[in-house]
Amino acid sequence: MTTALTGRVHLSGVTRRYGTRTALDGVDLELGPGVTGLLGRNGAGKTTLMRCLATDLDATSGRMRLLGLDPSRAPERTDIRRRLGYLPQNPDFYPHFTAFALLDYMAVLKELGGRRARHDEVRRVLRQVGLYDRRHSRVRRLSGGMRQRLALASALMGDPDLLLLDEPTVGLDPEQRIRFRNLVSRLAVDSTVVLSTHQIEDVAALCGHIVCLDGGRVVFDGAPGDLLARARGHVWEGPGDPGSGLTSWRLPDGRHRVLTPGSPLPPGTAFRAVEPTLEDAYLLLVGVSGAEPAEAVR
Amino acid sequence: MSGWHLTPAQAHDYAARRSDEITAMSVEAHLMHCAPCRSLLPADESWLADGWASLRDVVDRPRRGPVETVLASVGLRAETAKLLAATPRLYQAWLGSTVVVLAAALFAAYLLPRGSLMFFFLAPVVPLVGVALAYGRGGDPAHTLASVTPMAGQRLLFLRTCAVLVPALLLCTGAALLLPHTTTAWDAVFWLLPSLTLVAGSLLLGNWIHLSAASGIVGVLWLAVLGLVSLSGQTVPVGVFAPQAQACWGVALAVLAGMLLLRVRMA
Amino acid sequence: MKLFRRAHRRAPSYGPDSTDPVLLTAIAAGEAEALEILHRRHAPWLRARLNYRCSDHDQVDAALQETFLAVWKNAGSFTPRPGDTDAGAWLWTIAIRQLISQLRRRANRWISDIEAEPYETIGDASAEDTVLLNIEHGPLGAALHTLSPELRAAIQATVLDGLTVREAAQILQIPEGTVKTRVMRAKARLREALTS
Repeated sequence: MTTALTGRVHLSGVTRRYGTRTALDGVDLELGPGVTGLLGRNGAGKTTLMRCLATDLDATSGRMRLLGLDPSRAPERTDIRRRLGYLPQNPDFYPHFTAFALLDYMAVLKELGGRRARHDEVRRVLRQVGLYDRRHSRVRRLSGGMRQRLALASALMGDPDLLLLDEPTVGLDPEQRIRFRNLVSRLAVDSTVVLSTHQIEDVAALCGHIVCLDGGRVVFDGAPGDLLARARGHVWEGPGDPGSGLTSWRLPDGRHRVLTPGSPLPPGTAFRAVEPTLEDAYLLLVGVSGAEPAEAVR
Repeated sequence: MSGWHLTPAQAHDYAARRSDEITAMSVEAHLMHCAPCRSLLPADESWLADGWASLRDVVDRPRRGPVETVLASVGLRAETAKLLAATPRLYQAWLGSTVVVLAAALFAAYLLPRGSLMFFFLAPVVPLVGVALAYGRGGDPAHTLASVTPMAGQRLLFLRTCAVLVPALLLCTGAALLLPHTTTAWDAVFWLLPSLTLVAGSLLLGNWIHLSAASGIVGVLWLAVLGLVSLSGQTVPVGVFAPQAQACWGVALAVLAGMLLLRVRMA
Repeated sequence: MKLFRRAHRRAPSYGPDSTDPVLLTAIAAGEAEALEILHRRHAPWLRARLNYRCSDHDQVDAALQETFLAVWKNAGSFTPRPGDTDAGAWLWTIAIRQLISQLRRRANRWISDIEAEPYETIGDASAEDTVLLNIEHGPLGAALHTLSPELRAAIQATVLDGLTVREAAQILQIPEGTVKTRVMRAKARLREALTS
């Protein structure tokens, strides 16, 4: 029971090095069904972690169990891949294939058997991502957002137990993002979904579990409420720029929002503590390098 | 048109094959032109859905290319045919690997004396390495998507190698036939033929046992043949690649094709 | 060929309420959904009617499948008569011929399939045949009652189903000459019954 609920993904001390650079440094994780949001700035190791989870990369050291199986052993790795859906960052396709033919080809690679069942599955995922009407269009004639949805469709084929989505909402318009969120939250009822993203709104809308990476280490692992609780008392709003190296930005009404990571002291009497958002909490956690906080987020 | 129309009871009787002959005839004559009466016939929803599903399966699917059709009709599994036929359609990677394989074969034919041991150990492996490189991260645009599928790895590599070697072999043979005085092109053929035979043999054997075991067995067989030939008195196992021996490779390929057909018959 | 056609024809906008000619134009342009609508609209009555010609449901289903595949391939060859918004007659001629070739295939698999005649609506029936097609009104029903089952079957196959003498002979499993004489005798009887 415990393994079924929480043991879908189990990492202990996973380290991955590229030459001398350490991309992941002793990562311990335990992920179960539901959506886990993976946050962190560029270069924090998110994509490396996703590729390890996708069996695309081996860990240099440490132990990994995915869906109860060991990805470092070839036969078990193949079994994991049968139950895995992976949307890589910046996915690329064969431009001369039609959407249908491309997914059909991917479905063969995924060993979804029987022509008719395979085609039905391709149609199902095309409907899910709203590309059914464009199924006979060639990939090169699809817009960026459509290609992103096509990659998502490819990841959804075969109802994977472990779904890994690396920056899935890039290029989607607001309406498509809502559709995407609905789709993912439906899937997450019985699959384990890992969502790596810079879009804090998506995390706030979808994730019951947040993992934050910084410099290849896990700096936060818990519920969104816990992350917010940590930030409470460190977010302020008031008139004027507080200056003095604190992270702050100007709001549309001319007031300033200030984050005080260290001491919970207000920088001036005119500042009042406000309820933190997930974005505030994330910024407080990883800190902001340089004077432009917005840039680290967007 | 007359004012005569079917009653719902008549429509139901007709659909259930309970109408007598004369009534059926008049119902039919009427239905041919009267859409409202046609819609009175009860529609069996699950039958309609089934019928449409099997129709759609033919009508609405990616068009099969000529190569795929030929491969499937020769007796390959439909899925394998799709993967093989798709391979040249991934033209960048395919072109890359063909160039690598041909260049390696020609390079080897020029520079390595046919007697050298290196030749024999490398011949089956070089094309595989070439294909693996060309379909790697740089060559295959959808590499990141394909590399984490259960098919990825050895089986996909071997299938793709076949899809590269067959045209490469045809090219080399064509060149050799067109240039009767160059032995280089023939030498290149000698490089490619063993590789193709071994790879195809492993894949075929892989139908019954695990592919790694299959390729292991085929590899050991290859070394054994090399060993036997060199033990049998010839200082160098050049015989394996001599023109007479090429006939043996041809026969081996034919046997493989035959086994493939047999498997299809039995399936 | 199909590629060419699809590339150059734009599909008209269509929906579940579109007329048959509109749907067929869309089908000719490669719209599978239009075929789905047409299938939903016509498959039930075609099935019921074919069931009166052949008691084997599998054969009927197979013939219907082939019918709609033929529609998919030949939708462009449908030319509605002016003002006619119904493809029922055209679909029927395809369906009954598919059933015949289905039965023929079952009977002698080794004989290569004879190419069926091009699909034409049975609009070219003679004036007399047109009278016969209006069975539902007038005294014709009563007149048909006086015919023997054999004569009725011959009239049904040739006039109602629109088959050629050869096709009628195949589905009734009697020689072509017999079909001809039966049809002649049946028409004579009917004329008698209607004029007396």
